[in-house]
Amino acid sequence: MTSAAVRLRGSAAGRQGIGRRGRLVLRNLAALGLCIPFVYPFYFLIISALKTSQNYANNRLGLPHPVVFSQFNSAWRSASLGQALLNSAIAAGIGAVVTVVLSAPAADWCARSKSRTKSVVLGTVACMWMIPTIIWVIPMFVELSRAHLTDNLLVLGFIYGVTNTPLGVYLLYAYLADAVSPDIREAAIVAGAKPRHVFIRICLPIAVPVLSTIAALAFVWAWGDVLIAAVLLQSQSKWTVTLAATSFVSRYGISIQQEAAAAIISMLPMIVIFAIGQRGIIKGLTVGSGR
Amino acid sequence: MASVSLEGLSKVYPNGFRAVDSVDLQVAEGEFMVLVGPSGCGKTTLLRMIAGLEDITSGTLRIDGQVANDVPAGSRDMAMVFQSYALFPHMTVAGNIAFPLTLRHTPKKEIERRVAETAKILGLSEWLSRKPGQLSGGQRQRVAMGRAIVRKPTVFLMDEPLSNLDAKLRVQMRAEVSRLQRRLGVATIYVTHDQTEALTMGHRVAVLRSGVLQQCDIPQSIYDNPANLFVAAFIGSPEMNLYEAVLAEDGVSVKLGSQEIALPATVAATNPGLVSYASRPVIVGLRPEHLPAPGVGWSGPVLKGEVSLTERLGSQLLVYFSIDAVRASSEEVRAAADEDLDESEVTSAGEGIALVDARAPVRAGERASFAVDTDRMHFFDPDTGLAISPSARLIAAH
Repeated sequence: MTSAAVRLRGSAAGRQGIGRRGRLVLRNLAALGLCIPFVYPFYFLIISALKTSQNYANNRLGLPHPVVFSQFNSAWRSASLGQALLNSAIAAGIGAVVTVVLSAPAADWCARSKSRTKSVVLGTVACMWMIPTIIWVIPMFVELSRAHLTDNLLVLGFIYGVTNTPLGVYLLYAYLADAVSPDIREAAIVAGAKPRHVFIRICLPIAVPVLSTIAALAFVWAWGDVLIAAVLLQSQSKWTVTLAATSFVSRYGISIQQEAAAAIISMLPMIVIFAIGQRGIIKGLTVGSGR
Repeated sequence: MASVSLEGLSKVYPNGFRAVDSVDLQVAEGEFMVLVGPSGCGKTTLLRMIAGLEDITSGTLRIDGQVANDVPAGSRDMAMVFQSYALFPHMTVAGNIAFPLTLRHTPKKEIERRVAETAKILGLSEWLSRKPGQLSGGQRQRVAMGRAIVRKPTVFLMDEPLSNLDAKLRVQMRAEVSRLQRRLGVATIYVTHDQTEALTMGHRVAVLRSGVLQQCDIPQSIYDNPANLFVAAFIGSPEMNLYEAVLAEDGVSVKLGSQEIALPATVAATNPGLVSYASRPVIVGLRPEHLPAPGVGWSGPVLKGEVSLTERLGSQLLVYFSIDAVRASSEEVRAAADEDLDESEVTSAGEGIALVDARAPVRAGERASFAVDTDRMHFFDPDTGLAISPSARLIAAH
């Protein structure tokens, strides 16, 4: 009787143990399954870029054999990726600066204003942000071409900056409203500060983490854009890296392997930026959301 | 250094709410003026109007005789200390203290000298390179004071600067702020809801209620001669016992419930106004500390009550008792009690509080007698709430 009870208890414990382990394995498998849609494109890009044409034709999804880097070489040369990277850096860099410069004073005004206009302004900003690019990009192109402002990296950068300004205003407004209390502003004003002093000496230095995040997000967004660049840039010498990377499809037939190599090259700077700045970017996004 | 004068100062918000109502107040050069009142009495609004952070709806604000109603906050040469300290989190202690000087383009050497001097006065010298986030509450408070005194303003404004500190530190800083004010000799307007701060720190105390100035006087006079029921109920801890009573026809005694308390001739002499209240209801005020246990040979009047609770304070015993008289519960008394709900809850109906010697034989559940110090009894008109006493000074009457 007793030994049977022990056996029973033992097997129950065993089942429980297997169950727990089994659940863990299942959970991990499910997590891996969820990762597939995100990881697969990268896997495909990398193996395709590292294969010979023959290897690619015979075995599309298998690992490269042998590993070759010639696709990178030819993609770099045929799409002038060096120039394209520089163009992207110029346009995205201008975009990041413009976003910060435009959103900082706007957010500061929203954070200190007690007027009803504020909610109208914030509402409008939110609406502007929600309008899909495709809706305004063609009319904007028409207007810009009338003013002979197309095919210009500076203009493209400015458009990137303006496009991201609503996001910047919102992020910075939420931060300033929390981090720079009315007391802090008033303390500065009683001490003799003008509103511009409060903005430059108090708000901007306090907001550095958020401003860096906004700049990074604006830069990354502009770097990844194809649509606006495709509409506004005509000369190949002005193409951004994403635009250049897509050129393999139309110009040289479909060269998936060069396309993949170009895509990897275009991603590298972003991967480096995120690897270095990840902590700061996440801190900037979550700062102010709790004390 | 400067004087500040408020003449009929009012603040009415767009929704019609009158936060400050025709306040007249003079703050002399070097004076420490405390504005005290329960929360929502308009004291902070008044301070912000003086600072220039809030528009003045009507009335005149003069700084050193000059009308300053429309002078921008930054040009009033006043320094303000906020309840939250409002330190700049990205600047070091030195940066925070130096901020008003850097705005005025003071030479760098001069800034360094004055920051060092200020830090020395406040005991902050070793913390100058720290950020506010790395400091304790008391140190932050000192930095806020430092930022205020470094530029040698003509007036100091302080908005409950000690209320975020723990009790022990508050007592310590109270003395430090008073010492500092005396040393600098700058007119100071100090807002607090804490009557102990008001009575211990101020040269004069202005008591506010619903935006109206109730009484402005030196602390001892506020305590000894409250101008009305509100001031009587608000100032003093534990609060004054206020009962509805009836004065005898000949004015020689007052009836509290079923008990008759004889009033010596001195009472009528010091309160000539009482004559007209013969046979009429009055409100009698007795501070707990003026209801001691009757000593051996005490022949004066006594008040007898049922003791419900005693609390030992070490040197004294706080006695909660009840008599069959009705506690005054006019609007003024309730407004003052809002400040300290716990106490007002305990002292309902005919309850009262007495402060007796710790060794007095008073026990809960027994009947006890308390000696009535008739010379320190207060009398108020039940209709107007005003003190029936010639010595009480009501500012509004001036």
